[in-house]
Amino acid sequence: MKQAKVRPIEIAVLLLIALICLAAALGGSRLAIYNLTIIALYATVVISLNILLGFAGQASFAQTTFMAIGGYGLAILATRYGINPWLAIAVALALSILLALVIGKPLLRLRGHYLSMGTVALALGTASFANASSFTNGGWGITGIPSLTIGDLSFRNPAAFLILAWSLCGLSLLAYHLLGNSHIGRAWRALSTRQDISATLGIDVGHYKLMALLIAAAMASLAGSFYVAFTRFVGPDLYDISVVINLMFMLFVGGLRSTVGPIVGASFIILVPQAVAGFERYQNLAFFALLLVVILVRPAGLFGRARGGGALERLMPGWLARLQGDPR
Amino acid sequence: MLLILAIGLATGCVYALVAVGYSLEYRTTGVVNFSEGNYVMVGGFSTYWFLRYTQLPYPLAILAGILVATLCGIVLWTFIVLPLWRRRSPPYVVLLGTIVFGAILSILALLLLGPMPQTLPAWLPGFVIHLGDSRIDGQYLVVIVVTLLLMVLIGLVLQYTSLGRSMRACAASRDTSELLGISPERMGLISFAATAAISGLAGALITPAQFTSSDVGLSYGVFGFVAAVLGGFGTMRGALVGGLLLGLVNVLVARYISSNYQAVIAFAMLLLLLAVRPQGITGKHWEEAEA
Amino acid sequence: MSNACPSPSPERLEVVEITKRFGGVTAISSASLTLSRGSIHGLIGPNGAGKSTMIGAISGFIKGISGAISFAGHDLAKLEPAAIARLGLSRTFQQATPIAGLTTLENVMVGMHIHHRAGMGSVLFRTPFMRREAREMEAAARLVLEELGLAGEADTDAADLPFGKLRFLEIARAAVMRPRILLLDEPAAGLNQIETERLAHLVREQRRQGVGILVVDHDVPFVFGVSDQVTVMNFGSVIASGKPDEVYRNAAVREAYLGAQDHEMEPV
Repeated sequence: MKQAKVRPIEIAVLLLIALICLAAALGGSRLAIYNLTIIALYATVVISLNILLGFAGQASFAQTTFMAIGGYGLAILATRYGINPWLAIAVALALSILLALVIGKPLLRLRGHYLSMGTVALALGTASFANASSFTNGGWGITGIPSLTIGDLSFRNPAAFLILAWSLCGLSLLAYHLLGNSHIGRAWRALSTRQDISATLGIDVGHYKLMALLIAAAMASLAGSFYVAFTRFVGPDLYDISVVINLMFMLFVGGLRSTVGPIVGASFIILVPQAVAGFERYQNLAFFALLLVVILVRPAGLFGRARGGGALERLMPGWLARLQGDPR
Repeated sequence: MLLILAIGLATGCVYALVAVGYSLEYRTTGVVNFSEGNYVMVGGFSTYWFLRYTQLPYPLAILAGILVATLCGIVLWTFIVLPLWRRRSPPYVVLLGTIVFGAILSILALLLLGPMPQTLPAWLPGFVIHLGDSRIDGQYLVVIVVTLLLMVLIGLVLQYTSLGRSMRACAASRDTSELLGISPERMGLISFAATAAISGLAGALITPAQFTSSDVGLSYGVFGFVAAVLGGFGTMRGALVGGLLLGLVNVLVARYISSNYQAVIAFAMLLLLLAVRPQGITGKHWEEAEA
Repeated sequence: MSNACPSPSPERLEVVEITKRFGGVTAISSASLTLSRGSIHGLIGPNGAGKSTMIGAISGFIKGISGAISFAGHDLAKLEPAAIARLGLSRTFQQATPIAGLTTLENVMVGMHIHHRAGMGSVLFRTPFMRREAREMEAAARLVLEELGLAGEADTDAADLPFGKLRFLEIARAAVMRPRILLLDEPAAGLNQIETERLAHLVREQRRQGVGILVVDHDVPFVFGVSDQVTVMNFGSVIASGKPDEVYRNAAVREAYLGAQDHEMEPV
């Protein structure tokens, strides 16, 4: 009945995360607060992917484009035109949604791999443009972004931003949950699995795909804005190919269509490199090797639900298995 | 001017060979292998290693380099793609697997051979073309000629040998070809190995004219991919057309605008193409691009 | 499953002399058919007679048809399947098409999607309207499952259903759209005697509610038993059309079925 069921263990994980955040806000180290904030913001983008790809089945790699609009929008409007940061974020959000509307209809007509190709092109093109253009200050990026304030309360205090970031993440998760368990979520799942049948059932496939894209664009734009508001800096590196790929890794590691997956995935991709930093020269290798292990052993992700698990035996190629007497 | 043409066509040939790799693998197995460009790096870099650290004569070092690239392709297939394929993992998981593999190759190259770009000796030493005022490194011509010969060879193999027919059958329908006694897994292995070899050869070809380093794989992979789609994803002819076109565009952009804009322009072209004519320039689309 | 009072309107599906060629093969040649709401029209014929092409053409899956297909003033030949569905025509497929990954209940509820009025805003704010609508839809869907003997499999993944139940799911999903015209493509294929009777009952119930049903099938007794009108096709052409007993006595029809035992033609 519900496409976005929350399992008990996921509730436990969510509670644990809430506790960790609270502890960090009250007395955690700067690094811990920084990490948790970044995790929340990336998780928000991954939640948007969970809607776009997890529900509606659209493998779009272009969330970084909307993050970039959110980030650069805030930066340029606030620093170059002196616009209030909150207003700038709102304008950037409107721009992202507008872009999604304009390119959405033609883009979402593309099937499977072609959609992936198109969106990869869009994402990498955005990063290249940000790097090359003087409008975005090229490779130098933009600094000196004013901090967010509400009245007298300034979010310059990292702990306050931590709460803000997790509020965004929490709201996104709520939206994910509400939409997923509604008839809209069902329509998405239907069109993702059998687009042809969905059409004969009267579902306006194009409309629903676009709806998913608009929601995803909005979430990504906000997350992108908040990220830049937090670090007070924006540059093309924030949206380059490694970020594009990392987002997919986060989604995958956490588990598609899992409630807590985006947060777990984001934590993994952000924290593991720090954990293996001790390997120095070999740290990148260690990171990717670990990732490979996850892909091969838990192909549905850590919290994913797969039909058929990832038993190690299935890793063996047929000829090797037969050598060991497995009649496969 | 002619130099620009030579560079453009030569790098275009490398893109074309990478694009052929994407197309061949995709049609045989349905997998898009994003580590395709890394084999170019592996081919060039290992050839360099063999030349530098062993007593092998140059031609054998090239062969050894290609062999290493082929081995990488086999490893990718056997230990990553095949297990995921068997479990019918969703396409984007396999894609991620190939990306991770490519990243690992790149890192290994960095660790084993260091960050310095390296080059190789020209295939035909002293071969320089004088045309009018221009002095063009003959290696560029070697690249173009070998690429064209290779593409003809590939075309002949696909068309006239039983192996080629099996691959084409697999590309047409995995289930039907299984009924015909063709093993899709074996075809997958062969196509992954062959395309790795082709890209490895491309690496050995282009390195004498330009440099190679551990991170060129990404660039070739991305541009090769764009070339494949531009020409018509999944077709041999498309790979060649797309590759040469992109090679020329890239070198012109670098010369007259700035090399920073190469990627932007390439992607803009790609987006425009997908909006207007998703089946590519040659229009021979392998499958329906639009739902 | 009740409609508001069945409309006495003359909404009719009219297929007028349609022809379709696939390459060198003529699948349908100048075939005509009329289906009124609140009636059942059977379509029979040997394999390759053009029956599936007929359904495909009406539902918008097969294009490039010459001739006219209209319903309630709309030209169906110009429309895409989704648009035709929204006009109130729903269909089933020969090969059952459960949406895998969704349960039996969810499959049926997807069929009810067009009846939902709540938009994204209502969903995000969990308005009382949206909650009531969701409750009502689920209750209606469960009722349908009860009626079709699928209640036990409500939470099973639809792809795991046994064959007979898959067929009923297929029909249930099409029926909950509350269509004005229902196209059934070989609904009785592979069903046993009891299931076939249940199917006949279901089809008659739909008629009672004012749905116009086109039943295409090989099970001749079943088709003759439920239909008000029967059309017989062979080699792409209509060779007979009329009331069941008229068609039964038609010489051309008997000739087309030469070799079939007489008792196979007995209406149920």
